[in-house]
Amino acid sequence: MNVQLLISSIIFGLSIGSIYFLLAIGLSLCFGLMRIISLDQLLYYSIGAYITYTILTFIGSFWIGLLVAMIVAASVSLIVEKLVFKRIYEKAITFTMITSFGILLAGVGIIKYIWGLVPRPVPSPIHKQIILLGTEVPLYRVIVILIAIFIYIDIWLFLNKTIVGKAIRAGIEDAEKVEGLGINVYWLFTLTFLIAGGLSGLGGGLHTPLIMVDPHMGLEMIPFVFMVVIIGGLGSIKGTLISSLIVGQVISLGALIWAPLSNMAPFAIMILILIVKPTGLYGSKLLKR
Amino acid sequence: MTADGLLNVNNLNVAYGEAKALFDVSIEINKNEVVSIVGRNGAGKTTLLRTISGFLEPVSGSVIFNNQDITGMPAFKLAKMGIKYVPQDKMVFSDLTVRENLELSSYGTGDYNWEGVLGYFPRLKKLLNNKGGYLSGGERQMVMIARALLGKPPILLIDEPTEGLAPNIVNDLIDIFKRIREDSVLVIVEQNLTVVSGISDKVYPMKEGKIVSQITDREQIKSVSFENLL
Repeated sequence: MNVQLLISSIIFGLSIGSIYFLLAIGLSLCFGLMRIISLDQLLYYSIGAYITYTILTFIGSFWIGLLVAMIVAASVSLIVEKLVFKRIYEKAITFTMITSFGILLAGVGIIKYIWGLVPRPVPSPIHKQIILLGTEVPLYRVIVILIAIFIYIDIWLFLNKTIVGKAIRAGIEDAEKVEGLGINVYWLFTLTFLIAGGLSGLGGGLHTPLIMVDPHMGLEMIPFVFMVVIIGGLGSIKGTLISSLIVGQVISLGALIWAPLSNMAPFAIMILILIVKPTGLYGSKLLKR
Repeated sequence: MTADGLLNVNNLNVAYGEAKALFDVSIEINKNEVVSIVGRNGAGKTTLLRTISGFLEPVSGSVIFNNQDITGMPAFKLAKMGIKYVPQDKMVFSDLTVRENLELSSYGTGDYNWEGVLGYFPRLKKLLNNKGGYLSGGERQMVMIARALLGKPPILLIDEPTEGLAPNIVNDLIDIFKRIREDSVLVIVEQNLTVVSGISDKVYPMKEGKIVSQITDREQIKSVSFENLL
């Protein structure tokens, strides 16, 4: 195998894995703390992509677009949390999953109404190539990876070094006991939702130069993000990072071996991991509402 | 409510869906008291504590605390007001250290002075950096009570505190309860009748979701046959 092709594929896989990480982290935190499967995160991903595209078109700055995308996606997620999820947190998980899927579908309809059905291209903000181990790789993909690493470190510091982060970690184990200590868990739920929505928007914005922006982009991501969350273990940040890197690499290197393998192989890996470890790589058996 | 009255539960009815768990339960808890609620499994003792502490909403009836109706208020607000519930599962946050477990309680109540609680449980000083998941049952119980004591709560509701603990640890806990009662009213759900007779000023036996009597005489508490009541 050509070494340069291999290195190039690894970078491709890492950048795709980074996008999956940004999306899956919100889904994982939402499940861990609130016990909801928040498929609407994929809507905030799409909104992030469209806002980035729109700001780039009107102002000409991708990076400002990315920032606005995060803010708008987080704001929309906050509205959805206040209007919908706050009323159904106590309901069964299947109910919240169906509701979140309904929100995603409704959101896709609104996106179609505002931006139309035609896929939109977003040029890469950085065209420069850099040399890594003798192989030319796009600098933008490296930046995507670095942003994901930066977000992971930030989330780790937030969850481990701040009292609110520790309350969220405790809430992932048992939200009721956190409430019993005098902490308003519903405020933690809102904060987590806001962070999740913002990160999904960031993921969507960062993904735009690598794909075409189209109304169904969120729906197409569902199986991959689900795989990442399940392989990593629901509620685990470290697990989400590792599984997103695994899925990214399996897709990328799978395509190198045989193109159809890129979509099939992650499912095979997921089944294999679930057979060996049904809770996922870092899933906790202690999870309890 | 009497002048010494701290908490009154009036005709409380609680149900899990269609299944009714408490039937017109009324109890009175006064300042400086240790109150025990005894009964067999399924008698409704835990349901009563969880309702008082805001984790369950009653179908009807009221809970009055310091002359304020607190019925149906969320648990976090009641905890801030000083109604602290220590559940029976002895579960501390396993991924957090003992220090972090206490920090969370300080964050919830605004009380960052740990001297008092570490005075009750000096053993915890050595365990501050240990993760909750590696503590013994007795140590976990200490952390849970220490966590609840932060904020100097006027009332502490403790569910089956001695269940599954070694006899020497049970004796230590009884001594600690005797010291805690100087600052907080204790309401204890307990099946260990030796513990009940050792520390209680008042006992409410429960059976099938109802309070079956009220025993307030300490001599009677020591001599009564609970087996016949339950």
